[in-house]
Amino acid sequence: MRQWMRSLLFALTASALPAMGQELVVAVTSSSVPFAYINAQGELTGFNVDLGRAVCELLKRPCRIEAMPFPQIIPSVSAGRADFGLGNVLKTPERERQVAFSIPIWRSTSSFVGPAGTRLSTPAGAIREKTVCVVEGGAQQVYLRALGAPAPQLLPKATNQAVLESLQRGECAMVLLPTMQALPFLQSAAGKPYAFVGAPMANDGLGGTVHVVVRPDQPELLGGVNEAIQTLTRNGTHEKISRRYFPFSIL
Amino acid sequence: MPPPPPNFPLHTVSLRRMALWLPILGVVLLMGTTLVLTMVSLSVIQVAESGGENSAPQQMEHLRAVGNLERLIALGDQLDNESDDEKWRAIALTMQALASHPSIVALTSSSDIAATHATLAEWQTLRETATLASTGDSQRLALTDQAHALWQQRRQALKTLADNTAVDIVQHNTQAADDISSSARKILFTSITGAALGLIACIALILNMRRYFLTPLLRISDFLAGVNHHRTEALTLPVPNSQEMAEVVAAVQALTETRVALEEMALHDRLTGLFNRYALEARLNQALSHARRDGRRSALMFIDLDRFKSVNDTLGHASGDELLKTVAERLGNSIRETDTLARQGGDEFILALDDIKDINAVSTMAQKMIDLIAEPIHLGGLDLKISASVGISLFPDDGLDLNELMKNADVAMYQAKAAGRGNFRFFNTSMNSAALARLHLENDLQHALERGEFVLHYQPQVNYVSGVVQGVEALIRWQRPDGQLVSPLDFIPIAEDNGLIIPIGKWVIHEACRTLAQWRLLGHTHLRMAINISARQFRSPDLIDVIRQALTECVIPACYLELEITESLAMENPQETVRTLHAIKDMGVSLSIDDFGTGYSSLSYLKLFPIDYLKLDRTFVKDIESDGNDAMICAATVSLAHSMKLKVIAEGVESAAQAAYLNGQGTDLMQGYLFSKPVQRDLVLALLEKTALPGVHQLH
Repeated sequence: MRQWMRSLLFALTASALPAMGQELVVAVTSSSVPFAYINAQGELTGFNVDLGRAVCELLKRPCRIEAMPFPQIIPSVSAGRADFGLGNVLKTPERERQVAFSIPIWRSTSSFVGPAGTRLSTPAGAIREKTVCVVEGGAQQVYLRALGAPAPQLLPKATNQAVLESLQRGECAMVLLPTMQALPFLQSAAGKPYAFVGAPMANDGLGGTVHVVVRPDQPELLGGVNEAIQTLTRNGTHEKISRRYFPFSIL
Repeated sequence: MPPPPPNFPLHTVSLRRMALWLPILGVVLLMGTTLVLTMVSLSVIQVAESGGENSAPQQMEHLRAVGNLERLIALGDQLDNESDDEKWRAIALTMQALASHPSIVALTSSSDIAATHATLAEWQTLRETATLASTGDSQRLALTDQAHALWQQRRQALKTLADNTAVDIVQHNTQAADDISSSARKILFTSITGAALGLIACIALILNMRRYFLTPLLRISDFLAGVNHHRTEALTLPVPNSQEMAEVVAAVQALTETRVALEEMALHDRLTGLFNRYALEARLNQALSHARRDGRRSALMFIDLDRFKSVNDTLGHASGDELLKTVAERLGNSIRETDTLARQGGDEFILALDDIKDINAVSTMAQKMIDLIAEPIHLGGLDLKISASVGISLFPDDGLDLNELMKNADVAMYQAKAAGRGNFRFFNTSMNSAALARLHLENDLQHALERGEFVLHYQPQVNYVSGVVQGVEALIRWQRPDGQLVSPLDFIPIAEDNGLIIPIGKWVIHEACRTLAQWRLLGHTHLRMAINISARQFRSPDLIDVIRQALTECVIPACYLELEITESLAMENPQETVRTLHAIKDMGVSLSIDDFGTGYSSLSYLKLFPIDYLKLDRTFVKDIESDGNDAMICAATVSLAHSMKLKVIAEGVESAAQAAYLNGQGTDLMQGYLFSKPVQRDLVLALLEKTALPGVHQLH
């Protein structure tokens, strides 16, 4: 008696669960204004957070957003601890070996930021003269390393926020960050003494399309994410979210 | 094979070829239309995709770029007028970030982007110099103007870029829209053309089907149906419009002609054209089943020419055939449409009469056949007189199936021959004697008048109270030479049938008038003579003349003559009766309705008849004593008659009690065995002498 009731209960729950959809774990970068940050009300918010939620909604699955430092995003997704991640990830061959890339969600450039009045002959020259802080594992670190920056001059930090704080402490003379992550800082009171050093750069891996990274073992999830992004772009939701956080269209 | 119809057209199509080419054409047409539609549709989809789906991301990209460029220009204009340093810096930072955004970079060259950045850097330097405390007002103004000019120059470049991109977008979209709508028009045109072609092809196919298949087939079918029901006369075969249909029509025509010829041969006697025995059997079997169903009576007659063989032997077969043809023609001309005449072979004919109401009609017909054959036949310069013997069997009396009827008719025919040829015999002997008796009666009746075999008897009509004979009714009797008296009930119907009633009736009127005239000479001047008028006599146009002539010849005042017509005769055609009665009445002759109460009188007509007497029928009088109803009818009739100013004569008064009752009811005159049966003239005279006025004997 108890046996068949249990099997019945199991059958009911088993059939009910797939209909609701299993929870998706979405990884976002922590402390990265305006992409993912804790607002004044103490809530996790930002462009990446909103976009991730919108994708989950279209996939009809509940969503758990997990903030983590940028370097952990790709390993988390690659290992399947997170189903997909939004960390302003640019596409590189090395990363493509670890995770699957969605269609683009926006396009990025990188900019040097330093005290106002800083002049820069060439980036290669700059890093030989000055200490530069970057986000660890980011395209900027890869770029500067490739330029031959001496290790003591190149200081990697876990988060965007940490990079900017290092700049303010004077730990580094300049930082190289995604332009859209630097802009809110420069426009804040704390950023007043600083300015863009040179024009934003898109070449040499510093810019290009930004993607959602998806765990590589679930091609159908990648398809679903791509379809969701396409729908969000087409129906204007992407534009709406973008305008919530940026002064112009970033796609 | 009969030749094809004379109006066989020269230009015919081949159905065989049509059967091959029509489907091929149809399939080709269908495939072609499908192919064209598919190609046009595919090209439209391609156009739509190139204008929509495929170029959508690119168009979006351009739109975003234009949007960002416009935003950049708007920010620059804002910067140009911004006095607040904080805001100025924030805007400038946004512009720096925006100027290198990939959407804009994709539209232009890196030098152009660098120019924007250079402009922004120079602008910042100018702004910083201008805001220095050491800078004089005029110098500041100059710096601001310089910065403004710098921006305007860059602004122009950015605006040109934005405008060109916008124009590109508009052009691309317009082109795409044009392409789509023109393709849509193309597919619409192609579809309509295809549909129209399909419709035309369908109509052509239907018309062809109708013309070459359906119409000829229907007409052939009608023709065959007509042939099956033996009404070929109004039907014709279609004029064939295809080689194959021509074959069909020719075959149908040939088969039909053969069939008709075969039927003619199979069912008809070739010599006379009458049905042969086979056809007769087929028709009779059908007729008998109908007769059986409807409960009708039929008769079968075997008509055999007597001594035909000797005609054949002496005059030759050709003359014999000629004679048979003549006989067949005479017989054929005198039968009803429902009767069937056939030649059984040799000199034997068979006549089948359907739906017989009266056996006498059969014997009349048989006699007529015998008479027709007996008329002289002109053959090879000779007037041949040939007789025939007829045997008759009746359905269902003498047999229920054809074989039995045929056999019995044959037997009857041999009896007729044995009885001396030239006459007919029924298979049923009782019918024979009845028919014979009637025939003899009819025959004798023909001569009875000329031989003076009719006599009149008279029955007095008496006034019960006074006992005086007021009148007599003349009643005809036929006294045959053997002394046998024949009742008028037996011979009057025959005389009615063959018209002898007219001369007989005329004789009666004259004879009665002569008798009355004699009695009048003997002093019985009050006496009224009542004469019965039969139906045929009543309708004969010279009745009035006959009466007038008789009255004139015998010098009798008209009022002493009374004509009696029966109630049923009077009511047969009341309007006609009214006219005739008035004509008679106008002469002064009295009128009475005989057998009153036995028919169905309409009082409204009775009122219109100018009559003087109602004769109460003997059937009511008979049971006056025993039947209260009859007594009441008598009383009512008397009362009715009196109310109409008519006198009543009661017939068949046989007892004193009847007479007393009738007298009590006011009956005017009585007639019957109580007073006297119908008697001869002389006996009447004796009666008259006995009761002659004044006040001698009374008759009861």
